[in-house]
Amino acid sequence: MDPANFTRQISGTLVALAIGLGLGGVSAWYALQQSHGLGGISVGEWAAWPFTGGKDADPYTVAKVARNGTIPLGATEGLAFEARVDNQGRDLDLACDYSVSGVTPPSKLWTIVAYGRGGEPVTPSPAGTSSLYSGDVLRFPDGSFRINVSRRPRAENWLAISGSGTFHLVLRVYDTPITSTTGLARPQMPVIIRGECHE
Amino acid sequence: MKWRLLHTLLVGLVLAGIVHIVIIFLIPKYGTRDAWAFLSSRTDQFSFTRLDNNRSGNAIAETDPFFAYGICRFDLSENGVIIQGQKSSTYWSASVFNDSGTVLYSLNDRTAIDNLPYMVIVSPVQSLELREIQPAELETSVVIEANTRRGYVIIRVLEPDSSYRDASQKFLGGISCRPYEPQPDLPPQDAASEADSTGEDGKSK
Repeated sequence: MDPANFTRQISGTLVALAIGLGLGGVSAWYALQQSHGLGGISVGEWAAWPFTGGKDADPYTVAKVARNGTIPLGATEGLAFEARVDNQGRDLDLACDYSVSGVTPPSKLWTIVAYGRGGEPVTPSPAGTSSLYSGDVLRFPDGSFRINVSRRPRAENWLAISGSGTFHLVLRVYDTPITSTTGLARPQMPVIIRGECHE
Repeated sequence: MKWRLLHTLLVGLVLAGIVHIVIIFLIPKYGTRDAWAFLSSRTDQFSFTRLDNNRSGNAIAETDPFFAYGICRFDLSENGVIIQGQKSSTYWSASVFNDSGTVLYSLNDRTAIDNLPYMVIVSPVQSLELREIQPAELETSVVIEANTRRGYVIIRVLEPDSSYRDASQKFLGGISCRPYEPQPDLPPQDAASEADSTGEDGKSK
């Protein structure tokens, strides 16, 4: 074999290897970062992974659960919806006010919690709480609700956040029929609308 | 030359696909951040442990602050596991996980028998044995066939505010988790006294 051809072949192999490892690694990382899409269902800005259990568990969801170190809810327990962006696709920011309004899928109870980047609940601003439980939420006569997410005290339902950076909301519906009848009409979820942003 | 470049790219892409799949499948096996890695170093096998939600260093990410949690880790290679507890006034639910964090089975207070957290988890082989012996538990508990060697059960109970704390702690404290060896069904009166004594056992733990 002539040497020029040989080097060409070696460099070709190296390029193929680099593409393989680089692209493979990046795409795997990206697939797990994605909050929407792979292995999940999405409703507006909310995403959920109902197929974390049993034979239906898809490898992406399993890997995501292991990587994030969470304990998923079983289908009979409930379903967790996660939102990382508002209704216009902008990242949720602790410096901004948000209103989360609408209805949740039918369930025995639900909770909504603001989590920081590391997966710990956001430290609430004084006198507030960064998590709400359906039993304590004030509602409009038609059963819908509005939750005001803000660093400053708010009337009605106040989800108190503090600090800066991005955060995400997790709405968990417990004992809900939607997990046993997926494929049914899309669940109704509240809308997240950004208000004022403060510095 | 063009064909060689195309060939290189094609090989690279195929390789990327393989690497992608391998990474996705290996993360649950070799990940160090998952719940199993955290729990296995902090809890004992066959003992029901309450997880303190508020203590710092709780590496289980994104737990629901409105719930109190308890966990029992098990190994089905020799025995099954039996979990027994009292009724709760608030909502509770339980999930059985394998060691890579996949939910194998879940139930809540409404789907459990008599609203009691009473379940027996066995491997497929032990399940055959169980059907042969027909122990009393087969009638009154939820029998779960788990196709895994190691795993854990997480029981969560609603604790909407601190006034529920006593009740939820009592509920979790009343849950026992022991290795399970099926015994043949006893005559009725003996079976009743047996059930009584195990109930006592669960309470004292």
